[in-house]
Amino acid sequence: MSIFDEDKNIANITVEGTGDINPSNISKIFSYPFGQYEIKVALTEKNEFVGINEIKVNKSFLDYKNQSIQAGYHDVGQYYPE
Amino acid sequence: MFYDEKPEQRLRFGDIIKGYIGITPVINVLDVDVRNCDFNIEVSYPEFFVVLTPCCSIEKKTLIIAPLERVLGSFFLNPYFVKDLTGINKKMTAEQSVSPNIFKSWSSEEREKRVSEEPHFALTEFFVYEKHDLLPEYEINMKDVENIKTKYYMVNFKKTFNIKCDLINKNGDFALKVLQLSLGSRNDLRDKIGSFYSSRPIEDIVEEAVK
Repeated sequence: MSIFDEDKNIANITVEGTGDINPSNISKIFSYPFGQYEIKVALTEKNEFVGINEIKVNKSFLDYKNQSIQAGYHDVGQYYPE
Repeated sequence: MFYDEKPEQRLRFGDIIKGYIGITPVINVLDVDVRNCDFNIEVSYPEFFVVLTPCCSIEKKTLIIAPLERVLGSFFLNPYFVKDLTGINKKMTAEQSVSPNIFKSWSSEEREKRVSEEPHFALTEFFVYEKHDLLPEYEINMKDVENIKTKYYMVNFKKTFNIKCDLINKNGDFALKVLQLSLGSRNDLRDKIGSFYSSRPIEDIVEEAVK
């Protein structure tokens, strides 16, 4: 059976509180583009891997490209007017 | 230590100097026949300038400089910058790059995307110079909050221009030198001006990805 919700193309993977995988450890969710998928990875405060939070299909090509690329600088100039 | 306590007499990249004039050519009407061009040259008299010629290229009576300017009042709306304005010179997280109000105003998707990125430079065209007794204090008019007195200055790489002067050479003394950056600060300036020129606009990256 597919792990994907057919309607939403989203797989929700629940992190259970066993072993080292403890939801209370999760500090942030890192969005990682992988092929046509976008994988959301849960990390601790020290950037240690906790688990996969969500996998979804990118349907919009440009959105996916924008997710997968980084300009290499924070584009925040508009917030600092002269 | 932001400045070198024992500055050399010769010019170095990032030095603060004085005694020059600011020159900006302004072309009002462009024409292929240059005789028909309508232009004027704006001359300004900033007290200080910053040397932006790389150390090893300072020679032949030519220098690349930019005026040392007052910092923007909007910098003081970001608590991370208020702690130390020279933080603008270094890589930072997305959260540090804006005020908490701006950060909260982003959609959760945008926030998530920005937070997931590695620390980057922000405001790539600016490099802030630390306070020093040789740099006069000035006041910045603020909107809705109290005015701020500061001795921080900055250089804007977009205002760079070239000058010629017989006194400029690689190893000669330079009497009009005011301050010299420490080795660490000079490396920071080199990295920051590098990021200014190496930043790729998002439209070029998308175009490259589509090809």
